[in-house]
Amino acid sequence: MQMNPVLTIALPLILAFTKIMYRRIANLFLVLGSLLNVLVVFFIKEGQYLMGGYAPPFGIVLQVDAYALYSLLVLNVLFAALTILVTKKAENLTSSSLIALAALNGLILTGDLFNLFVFLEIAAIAAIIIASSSKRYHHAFHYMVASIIGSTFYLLGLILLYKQYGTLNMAKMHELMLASPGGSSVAVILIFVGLAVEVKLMPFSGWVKGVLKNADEWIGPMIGAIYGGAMMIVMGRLFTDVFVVSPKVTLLLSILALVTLVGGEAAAYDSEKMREILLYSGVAQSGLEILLILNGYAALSFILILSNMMAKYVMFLLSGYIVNAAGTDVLGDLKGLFRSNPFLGFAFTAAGLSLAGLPLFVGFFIKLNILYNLMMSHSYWLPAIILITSLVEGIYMLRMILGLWQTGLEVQETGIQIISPSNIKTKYAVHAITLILSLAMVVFGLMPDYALDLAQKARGNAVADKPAMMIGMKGGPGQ
Amino acid sequence: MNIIHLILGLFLAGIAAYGIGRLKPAAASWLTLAASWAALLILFLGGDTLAGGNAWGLLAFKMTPLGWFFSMTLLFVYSTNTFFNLSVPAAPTRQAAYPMLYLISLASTIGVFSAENWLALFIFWEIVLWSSTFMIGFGKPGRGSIIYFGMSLLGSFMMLFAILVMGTAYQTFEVKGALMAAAQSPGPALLVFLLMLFSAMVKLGITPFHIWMPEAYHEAPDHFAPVLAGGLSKLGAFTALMVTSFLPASTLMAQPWQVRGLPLLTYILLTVSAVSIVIGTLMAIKQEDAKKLLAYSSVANSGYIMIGMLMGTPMSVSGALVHLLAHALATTVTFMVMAAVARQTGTTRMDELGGLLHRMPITFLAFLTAILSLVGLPPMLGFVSKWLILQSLASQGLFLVAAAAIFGSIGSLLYAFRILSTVFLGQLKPKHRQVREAPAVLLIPLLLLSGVTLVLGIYPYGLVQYTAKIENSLGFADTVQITGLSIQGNNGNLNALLIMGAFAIGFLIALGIFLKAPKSRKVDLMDTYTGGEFIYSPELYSYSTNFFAPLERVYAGLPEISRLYEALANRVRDLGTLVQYLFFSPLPSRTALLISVVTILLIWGEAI
Repeated sequence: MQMNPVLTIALPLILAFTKIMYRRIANLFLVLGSLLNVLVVFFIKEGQYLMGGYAPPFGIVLQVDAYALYSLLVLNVLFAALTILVTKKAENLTSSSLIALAALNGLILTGDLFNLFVFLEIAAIAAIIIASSSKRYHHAFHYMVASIIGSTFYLLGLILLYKQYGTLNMAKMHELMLASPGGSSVAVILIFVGLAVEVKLMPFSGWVKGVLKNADEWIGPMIGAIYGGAMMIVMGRLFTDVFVVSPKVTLLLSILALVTLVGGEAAAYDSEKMREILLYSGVAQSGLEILLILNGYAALSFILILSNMMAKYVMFLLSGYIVNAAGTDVLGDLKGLFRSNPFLGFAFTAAGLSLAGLPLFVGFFIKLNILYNLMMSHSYWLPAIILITSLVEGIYMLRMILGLWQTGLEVQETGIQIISPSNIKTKYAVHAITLILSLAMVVFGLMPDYALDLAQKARGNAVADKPAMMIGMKGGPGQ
Repeated sequence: MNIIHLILGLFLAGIAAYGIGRLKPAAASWLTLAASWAALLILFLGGDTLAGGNAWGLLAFKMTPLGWFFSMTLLFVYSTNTFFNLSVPAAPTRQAAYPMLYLISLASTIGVFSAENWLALFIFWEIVLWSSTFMIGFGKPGRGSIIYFGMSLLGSFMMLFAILVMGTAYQTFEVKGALMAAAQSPGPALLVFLLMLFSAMVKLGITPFHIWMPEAYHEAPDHFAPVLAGGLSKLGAFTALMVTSFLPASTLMAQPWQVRGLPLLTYILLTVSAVSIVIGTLMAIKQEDAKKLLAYSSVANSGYIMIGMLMGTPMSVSGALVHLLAHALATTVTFMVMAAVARQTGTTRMDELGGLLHRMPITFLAFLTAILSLVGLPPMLGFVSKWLILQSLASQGLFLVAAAAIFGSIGSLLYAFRILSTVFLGQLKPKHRQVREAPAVLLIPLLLLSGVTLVLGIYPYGLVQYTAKIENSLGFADTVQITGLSIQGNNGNLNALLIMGAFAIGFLIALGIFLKAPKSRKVDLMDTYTGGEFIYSPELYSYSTNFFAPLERVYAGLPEISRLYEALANRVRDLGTLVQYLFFSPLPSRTALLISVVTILLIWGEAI
């Protein structure tokens, strides 16, 4: 059986609007809709899907390659898991959540640059509604301002490109840009800035702090992990498969990415609150991801995006629940919390250690391969900077995790249950989902070859001159 | 049975120990004991020819004499320490993870010592790092575990960088092959050499990377500190020795500058190690806490090990290896004794202790043996190693370094005597009248370890012979020589048995005098008065605070290196604050401004 990928966009959209008539079972719409989407994703085959019967480059196409397919899978699974967990919070947000899902799927699938803009706007509106559910309207407004400026820039860039090349189709655009490079740098920069607002690149990321430092278990994973990941996938798509960027622009944008990496890690090091640490570390990670994307490490950036997305998802989700239970996310007040919650503690720890790139977890092999490939292109200073930021990251990550365990003999157990035992359904669901994700990080940490191979196959031929040489457990080149 | 089975078995035993530990903590401790002793037995019987095996390609193993020596040393420390795990005070907290982490770190050390390529070595190295970090966290609350982690991570990343440089420049990750290739072609070899050595120095706790040692040792739970101090720091010596023998500085930097026939680089590193001895000794003399004192003693002793390896002569390398074993055995005993004392009295602060000799005589004997070995007095193993190292320093003509080494030995007498006299000698504090000897289960490892120290000190020939074998496998042209019962030095030979004989005669004479002479009368601590007034608080009688005050005053103003690291950390914090202020303001207008201005700048930058 084969399904049309447009279903992953259309289905949630239809449900989002029909739901209005059935307010009582709104939650059911959300959960079923997102589960149905996961099911659909399993039956999507790779290929090009025309919309409305017009052949490209005139009509809109959905481009389903391995890159889009794996991203869709991870995104929809994470989204569905979240809807199951946080039904209470999502009650008033059913429509906007379903719209968000549709828009994010559309962003990943579309093969048309203007279509992408439409999805970008829809996704942003949905995200603003989701962010305002915390009742901190000031921060939601901040996000709205930033994202409107961003999408305006995107549109401006798009207009310039259309004027120059006369097409909005991604594949066609790529061909034309290859044929006549140069001249489109301003447009590329504008589009980059438009997306950079969404992927939290400094200095465009002023909104992130307000939205995520107060994030609950619904906003955190949604904006911090799922949205960030999906937008980064789009960034990877545009700056690997579509645009031909001049070396000078690459250098300029890489500097921004590097500043983000360094600044983000330093800001996280400076924070004493759990969610602030997570959000700054997310900012830093997106700097690294963009650095890889811009410099043509497509496979590596892809696997880094997906693994970061999962790790951040677990950590934001748990931090949301922790704030609910303890009433604070100041690390000093949460000492010994995990001792009463060993399994959730394990999940959080595994995600954190994987983010920090420690062995036995998948993050290690990703980081190792990044460094190895950067060094293979005869650069020593870039790996050195990445290692120094990793050092900072490792220290604050372990400081947070050790504090949360605080296993020492002289500290009293807080006795706080992260998820109240009376809420058995949520308790088991959260345990199951976070443990599955963290065990996946261990399993892929022990057997990274499969994941690395998949990433290689999905993105290996995206950039011809930068084939990644992957070191997995099977050994690497030169073995 | 091959190495993979051994490592995998220990990993699985660790996971099993977690499951069991949640139900029945004592059973998990017994499992750790059984698993580690079984591993020790397998490794001992298998010898250095134990089959390697290949799990996934990257994780390939091969036992070498050097790896076997290190694995045996660490396994011995780990498995004797399992007796202390048994005595974990009835934990008020869930510590089920402790046995698991213990076995995982044990398995990983074997992985480090038998890995065939650098990446596998690094993976295990890091697993040891984070598992031990969590184990330190089981102790006193504080910054110790995170300082340990941060410094070690700095070291690991230096090593990773060097590994990747070798991997990219020479297209191989093989442990020996990569270093040999680096030795062949200069290129980035110097970078590799320095980074590798620095990372080893972090682990060994050589100045200026030693700041984690006192903090971590002090905070580590008493039943883990012996492993941390006696075992884990030796990982650094392993990589350092491989680097200095396969990629010697003499091939890297033979020209243009030489000091006394050694490349300048080697001489500088030797000086750093000598400084480490001096600083470790001076700081140890200053400490009020026995565990911190012993930590600084480790800093000093690592200096000896490093000197032996850097000199790279057969005799010095043998000295380094023997000293490594001697230090591992002795330090483990001293920390175990502290654990036993802490268990019986509840403190390791020296000014709160005293006169325990009468209450814990066997513990005292074990401690005496270890201290004598640390100081380097016959008939203990520490004497043999210090003799070897000093011999090679003298024959190389490195008198300044030798002077530091001798200073360290004399200084160690001072601080070792301090623990001895303040914890075990002197008068018993009234509150410790009820203290008893440590339970038998804790005395077993103490007697085992100090017995080995003594036996090897009297008869070190087999051990030295084995270091000669290691030197052979490391490609040394000639090795340390033993003829009959004397180890050959350049200006004198060492006959340990003869020394033992002389020592025994002296001991017998002293024993005769002791038995013949009139006995001393035991005076209770409170059996005194001052200026006609009786004092009722025993602490006021303590003579152990500021024990060496006149000496300490000489170097009281010495700057502390930890300030430098603190300053660095604060700069990172400052940068973070700045970034938060500049780019994460709550004002939407500022975000809008930033987006616009930076976009304009980007477009402008593209145009010029």
